[in-house]
Order: sequence, then structure tokens, then C-alpha cells
Amino acid sequence: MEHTVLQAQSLSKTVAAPHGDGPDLSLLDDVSLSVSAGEAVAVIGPSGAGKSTLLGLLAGLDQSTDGSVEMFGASLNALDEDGRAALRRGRVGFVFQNFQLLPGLSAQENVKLTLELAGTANSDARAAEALAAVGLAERAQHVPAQLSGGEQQRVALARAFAVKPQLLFADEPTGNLDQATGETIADQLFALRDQSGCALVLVTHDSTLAARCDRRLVMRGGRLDAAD
Amino acid sequence: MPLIDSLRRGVGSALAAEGRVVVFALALAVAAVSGVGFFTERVGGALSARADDMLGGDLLLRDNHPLPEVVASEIETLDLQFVSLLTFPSVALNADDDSALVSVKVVEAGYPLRGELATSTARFGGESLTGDIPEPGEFWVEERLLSELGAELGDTLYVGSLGFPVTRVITYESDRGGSLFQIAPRVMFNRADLAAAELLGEGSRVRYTTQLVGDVNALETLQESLSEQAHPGLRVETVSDARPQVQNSLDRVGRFLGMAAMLTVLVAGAAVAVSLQEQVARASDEAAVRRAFGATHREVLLRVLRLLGWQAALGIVIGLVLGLALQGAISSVLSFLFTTELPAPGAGPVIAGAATAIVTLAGFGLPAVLGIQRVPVMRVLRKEMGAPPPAAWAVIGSAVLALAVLLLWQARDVVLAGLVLGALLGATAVLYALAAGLQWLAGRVAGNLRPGWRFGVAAIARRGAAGRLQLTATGLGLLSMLLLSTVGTDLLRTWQRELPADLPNLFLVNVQTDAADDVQARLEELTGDAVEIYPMTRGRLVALNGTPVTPEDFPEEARRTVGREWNLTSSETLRADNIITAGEWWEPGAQVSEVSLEDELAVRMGVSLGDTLTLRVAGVDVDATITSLREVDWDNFKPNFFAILHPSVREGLATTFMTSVRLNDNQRDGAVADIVRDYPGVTALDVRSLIERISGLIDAGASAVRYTLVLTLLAGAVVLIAGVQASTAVRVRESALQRVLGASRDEVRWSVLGEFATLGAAAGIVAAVVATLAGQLVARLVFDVTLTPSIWPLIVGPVGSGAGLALAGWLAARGAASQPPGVLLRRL
Repeated sequence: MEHTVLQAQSLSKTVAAPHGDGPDLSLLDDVSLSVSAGEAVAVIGPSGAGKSTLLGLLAGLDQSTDGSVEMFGASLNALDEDGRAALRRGRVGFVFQNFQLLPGLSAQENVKLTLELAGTANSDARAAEALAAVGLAERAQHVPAQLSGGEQQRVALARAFAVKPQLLFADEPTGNLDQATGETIADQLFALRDQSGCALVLVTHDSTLAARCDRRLVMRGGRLDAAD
Repeated sequence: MPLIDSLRRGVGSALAAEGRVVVFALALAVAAVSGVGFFTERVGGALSARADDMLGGDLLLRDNHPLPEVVASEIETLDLQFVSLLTFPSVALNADDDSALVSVKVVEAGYPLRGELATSTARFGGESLTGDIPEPGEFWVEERLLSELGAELGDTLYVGSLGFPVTRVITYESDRGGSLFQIAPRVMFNRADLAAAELLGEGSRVRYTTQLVGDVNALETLQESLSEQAHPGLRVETVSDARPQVQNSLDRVGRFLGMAAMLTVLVAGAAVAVSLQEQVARASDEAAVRRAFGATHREVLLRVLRLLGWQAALGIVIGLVLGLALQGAISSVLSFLFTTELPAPGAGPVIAGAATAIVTLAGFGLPAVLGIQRVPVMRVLRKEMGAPPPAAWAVIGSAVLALAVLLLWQARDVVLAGLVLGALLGATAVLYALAAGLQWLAGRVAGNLRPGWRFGVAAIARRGAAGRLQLTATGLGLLSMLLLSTVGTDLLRTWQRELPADLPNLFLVNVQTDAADDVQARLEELTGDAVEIYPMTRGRLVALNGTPVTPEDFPEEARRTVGREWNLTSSETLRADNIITAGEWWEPGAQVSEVSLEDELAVRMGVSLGDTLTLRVAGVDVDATITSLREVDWDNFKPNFFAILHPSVREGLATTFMTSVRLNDNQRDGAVADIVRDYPGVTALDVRSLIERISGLIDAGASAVRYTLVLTLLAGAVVLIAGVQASTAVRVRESALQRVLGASRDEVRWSVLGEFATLGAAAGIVAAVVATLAGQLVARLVFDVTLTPSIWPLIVGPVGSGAGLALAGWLAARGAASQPPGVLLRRL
């Protein structure tokens, strides 16, 4: 059996009600899941179901109120912020709905950022390669404002895969794009994943996109309903 | 309360985010301009009144004849206040018919219109200021006349046909003027006694002086009309003709304050430019949404302009309060100097301050603000779409225009304003070019640094034009701070040097040849130090290169000096404080007919090396050829001479000796009286009062300089903060992504610290080098002082600005390192 790269046990997240009025608000309630190496798992559900909250907790970007997460065999609960960041470095990639490219940097510099963090040698050449892999070699020196939404998301894909991650988190990667562009991006995302063999946690409400994953989990009202 | 609500909302919006920097920068610009304005108007006015004291009025008319009727009636028409005085040399006698040469001053009620007269009712007693003049039938005299004639207070002295008792000792006359060494002791009496004195016969050397005060415009009108009318012999004197030490100090204070105010405005302007760009970028979201929902370009623009209006208003109010506090502080430091209340602050500086704020805001911010109209509506969908940045020519042109207006207005001199503007633009261009160079370098070296630092340094290279602008603004701020600190500190030091602790406070003149050695020995014993004693003889220039000359043969600016008798000394060796600027000092032992002339006088007279001067000394004519020109430091309160003769030229001429020493009250006690008693011909001039008053003036200037420096330093700090704040949003975003992608908190911290510390140190090095060079130029050309080169700016500049910027950057971006990346991501 493939080894597990990500495992969540009874994750819960509550926040205080606005202005302290009333009971705490539950965003996530008793969620457990595991992701094997190389496996693609989709988390689907309507808006407000808690998908992005779950992704944040799984990636160690935020802390749960209850429950535990293990990434690459290490308990995120036992690590502090820096420890969790070190765990992600060079092994975890991200693709966001709103791209999250730095506006002041060129496409190549945006890609280079993760490579520099990972301490990769020849980061310039590696960034150029990654951009070429998404068909943007010609646009390497353009800043985000000079790129279309689809191109920006391709830069984000290049940034995510440049470090050859073992685990990729994608949060509605086609959510901001038209259908045709969205499909192209999805094709590239899955092609790159197949090449790298990394595990994927994909949060989406697009069932077609989710269908391309090995497994689908449905969320409703902060709970993991059932495997689809 | 809708009014209070809208006020609260207006103030609140004006002070949000970058608005605070805009408001504070404007406030500092307003404070600098209005504070300096208040200072110049109130304290500066009072200070130049101090210089007026030297004249006894705001304007002085001198003539060898009574004031022409036409001038007198014009003075009355212009409603100017005036008093008339007569001064002339005469002889005073005691009851035993011992005589002394005196300088008589005949005064009328109201004298002096400006300045002070201090007297004492006991010999060597405490002095007090007086508003009185001698009553008819009494003399007021200087102490040294009593010494010379062996008289006491109450004794009757005789001048002309008058025989009056001496009722007071004159200790200080602020309008005494002239060279300290030429004056015979004063006898002052009331004008009512003039006719009875029978002193104004044919050939008497009377000087008629009219002291005037009144409205500035009326005084100018009088000056203009006098220059148009031909009144031979009538001379007009203003403050600028008064004692040079005071004038120099005042001029320097004025120039320094003007420069400090303008640099503060420039630095504040840079802060406004940087902050407004960021403020507009932030306002772009709202503008796009409003436009999407149907707002016109004009409505969007008006909304931003309204915000700027609030910021300008707040900046002006805070700035004026600061400016008032500033001048209040200066005034209180100086209160001991002024016996009367200072005039209340006028509206001038208030208007100047407000105008500065508006011009600064418009000049430095308008191009960025107008850009809000160009924010594409598409921004509601694509956040990265912003207004295209304003054209470089518009930004630079508008800032230059604003600066030119402000400089011209401050300097009131097109050439000077042009020079300063040129220098500022030059400095800006150099800083911008160096910023570009630094970015290039950062891109090259970043890869070799440790991770956290590497991101920071690489970030410098990535910032592009915005980064260069920020670096240039930071550099300008630092440059201004360092320039003003070094020049200001040196000015203060120069002033202190002008009045060193060992400044002579007693001059002994008319020391006869046979007494010279003994007087010198006694003074050396008294002070425990070497005392120099100078031979002195007096002579008038009667011929140049063998041709007889009169003052009228020389350019206007030399006539006064040429017309006077010169104090001549002779010396085998060159004094250490005299510097030869042309020709050569004579060889020791040579027998030559040579003279060394003060270089500025030579220029004024139009004479040069090789010219032969014929000087008439006590009826004997001696020829001497100019073989060297000397630079003389007239501000050092030591006996200085226009002409130094070769000792062989002086041989056979009537000579006395003079010397100057500093004695404390204990040393002075009795010793000086002994010398004067043993050698009755010796005249002792006590200049303690004069020195005390001049040092008061210098203290005044020094405090003004210190307070203005603080303002400029604050403005510099604001521009640094503005620069940091302007890029905070980008840095927080970068830091957040770095955290998400696996950077540790320390790495994020190092990244921010690395970028800002490198930026600060680089800007600091450039600013320190430019400030050191510019400081030398400014000190020489503008302030006429020599700046002592110092290594400190080169250390303090980079270290201080590196540390300061790193701290400011860290404080601004610390949130990014301390919050969970998930939280940061949601904010992006």
C-alpha cells in the first residue's frame, strides 16, 4: 500500500461570534481524512461548506481548534509556525483561486521566489524551465498586470511545480477563469501532477474537475458528508 | 450634530493609513516655514533692532552740515520719528587746567531712538539702563576721562565755555560705533547747552547725525528719494553698515534658517509625493467600484481632492501650532536679551505656512492624484489593473515648479533660487542614478547571500522605478539632515570661536614708547601668559604712486576708509592669524620701504602689489611699496590693521603702543588703575559690556539654528517612514507568500531587515558623501565659514539610516511574520 502523506483526525475549527455575541461559530466539525502519496483527492461542496478552511488546516496555514493533522508523518500540532513552514518548504505546492502572484515581480521572478526559498541552485534557469513547461517562456519578463487570468494561473502552476512538490494544495484553481481557459488550466494541472507524481488535494465546487481526481470527498456545513 | 459628525469623519479619513504621513509631513513643512517666519518677524526683527541699536535708529543720516531743510521736511511728511545729535572732538579741562582730548556728543530728548544707554552713579559701580539724557547744566562722561583728569563724580569739568559738574558715568552707548581705538573718551551734554558752549566756530569738525525710526516703507521711500537727490556729504547708514561681527552673525542666522526651512519643505515634499502615490493606489479600489456603479471621473476626483483638502487643513493647523511653539521656545530662550516685550506674531507667517502646505501638496502630489481618474473600471474584476503611473515629466515638472515657487519666494532672488534649485535637482539626479546602480548591484550579489538576507537584497533589485523613487526620497531626506547637521554644527562652532573664552576684554592704547616694556611686563605677570604689544602710529593716505589723492579719487566703497586716518603698525614677523594672499612677507633684517595691505581694502581701493602709498604721519610723509596682501580676521576682537609697515619705514615716526588682554575681575581690580595712574597717557578701553551683548546675539542665533535643525531632522524621519510605509503592503504580501511557501519567521524577518538595512545603509553612504561635499561648498559660498572636514557623517549616515530604516521597516512589516499564514492569505 502507498504510504500516507497527509492524515487528518477529527479536525474542528470554531471561531468566536462577531462582537462576542452568542455561541461560537463552527466552521469545521470532526473531519477525518487521509491522502496517500501520488493520490488526487477532491474536496467538493457548496460555498461556505468549509472547504477552504479545511485546506488551510491541512496545509498547516492555520491551526485547528481540535483534532490533529500529520503531514509526511510529522504532526502539525506538535510544530510551531516555523516548524510547519520548514515542513512545507520545497515539498508542498499551492495554487490559489486568485493566483496570488506578486504584482511587482515578473512571471519568472514570481516562480523564482519558491525556488529561492527551497534553496534550489540555478533558480533562474529552473524558473525559466517551469515557465516553458506551461507554455509561457515568451512571457517570462511580464508582470501579472500584463498577463491574462489564464496566463497568471499558468504562472501559478509553474511556481507550484517548479520545486517538484510531493503534495499540492489547489484551492478552486479554475474558479476565476472562463470554461475554456479553466479546462486548459485543469489539463495542465493534471498533466504536471502526472509527471511529478505528487499527491493533490483539490478544493472545488466544479464536479467535472473533481471527477478527474482519484477520490472525491463532499463537505456540507463543515462536515465531511461521505465519500463520493 | 451633523457638523461635528462630518468633522469627525473628515479628520478620520484624512488620518487613515498613509494619510497620517501626508498630514505630518505637511505639518512639518508648515512648522518650518511659519516657525522661521515667526522667528524672523518677531525675534529676528528684535535682533536686527539690536543691530539698529548700533545705529541708534533704523536709519541714520550723517553729514558735516545740519540736515538740509528739504530733507527735514520730507522726514516730517513721511511721519518718521527722529532725533538729532552732534558729535565733535574737543578738549576737556579739570580745575587744575589738566586737559584731555574728548569726543563730545550733544543729545536731545528721545535719544537714543534705538538701543541702550547705560550709566552708573558711582565710579566702577553697577550700571543700569537709562531712558534719560543729561539735564541742562550737567555732564555725563566716560570713566576713562575721570581717570585721565584725576577727577571724581561731582567735580566740575570744562568744555568750551561750559563748566558743569559730572553727574553720571557712561558705561555703555550702543550707538557708539567706529573703531574702538580711535575714540577719545565721551562727554555728553544736553542740546539746550549747545549755544552757550560756543564750540561750533569756523572749522570745527562737527558731525550732524539724525537717527530715524518708523514705518519700513516710509524709510525706504526716504532712502530712495535721498539717493535720487544730490546732497553732497550726506551719508545714509543702515543696519548693514553697522558693526560687521553682528551683521555677519545675523546674516548667517538668516541664511541658515532660510535654507533649513526650504530643505524641510523639500524633504516633506518628498514624503508627500511617496505617500500620496500609495494613498492613490489604495483609493483605486474604491474609485473603480464607484465608477462601475456610475460615478463620473469628476466625482471620483473630487472625492480624493476633498480628502486632500482635509489633510491640507489638518497639516496647516498642526504645523502652525508647532511653528508657534517653536518660535515661543526660541523667544523664551532669548527673553533675557530683550528688555521690552517682543511684538506679537503677525499674520504673515500664518499665510506663508498655509501657502507652503498647498503649494507642496499640489506640486508634489497632484500628478499622482489626477491619476485616480484613469483607474480602469475593469479593476473591479482584475485587481491588478491600476491607473497607469503618471508621466515622469509631469511628476518631476510639477515638483520642480513647486520648489521653484517656494525657493523664489523664500530667497526673493532669481539667481540664488535658480542656483539652489539647480543644486537640488543635481543632487536628486545623482541619487536617482545611484539608486539605479544599487538595484543593478543588488541583483548581482543577492545570490551569494544567506537565504533571508538574500530575499531582502534581491527585493531591492525587483522594486523597479518605485524602488528608485523611494531610495531617492530617502537619500534626499538623509542628505538634508546630514547637510544641515554638519553645516549647522560648524556654524555654531564658528560662532563660539568668534567669541572664545580668552577673548580680550581690555584694550590699552596710547602706551608711550618708554612705558611699553613695563606695561607689557606687568600684564604678563598679571595674566601669567605672553602678551603681545603692538607699535601704533596714525597716518592718512595722501598720494598713490607719487600722485596726490583724495578720497574722491577712489571707488565709492573705499572712500570712507581712505578718508580716515589709518592705524598703522609695524612688524618684523607675520602674525599667525594673518594670511598672505598675494606677494611675500619681507625678509627679516632687510631695510626696505614696504607695506603689507589688507587684501579686501586693496581690492576696494583698486591698488595692487607694486603700487606705492604715501602716508602722512604727524606731518611727515613716508613712502611704502605694497609687497604683500593679507587676509585679516576682523571678527577675532584682536587689534587688527589695514596696513603693516616694515619696521624701517616706521623709524623716526611718532609711535605709541597698544595691547589687548583678557582679565578677570580679580586681575583687573586695582592693577589696571595702577597702570593708568603710573602712566597717565595710557587709555584703558573696557569692552566687557560690548562682548556680553554680542555673545547674547550669538546665543540667539545658535538657539534658532538648533530648533530648526530638530524640525529638519523630524522631516527627514518622516520621509523615511513614508518610504517604508509606501511599500509595506507589497512587503506584507510577499512575506505572507513566503510564509505559505515555507519560509520561517526568521527568514521573513531577515528578508525585511536585509532589504531595509541595505537600502538605508546605501542611501546613508550616498547621502553622507554628497552632504560632506555639498557642506564644504555651502559653508564656503553661502555662510563664509570654513567647515572642518569630519569623518562622522560618513559613519553616522550609513549606520544611523541603515538601523533606522531597518527598524521602521520591521515595525511596518512585523505583522507578516507574527500571524499565521492562513490569516494573511485571507487578507490578500
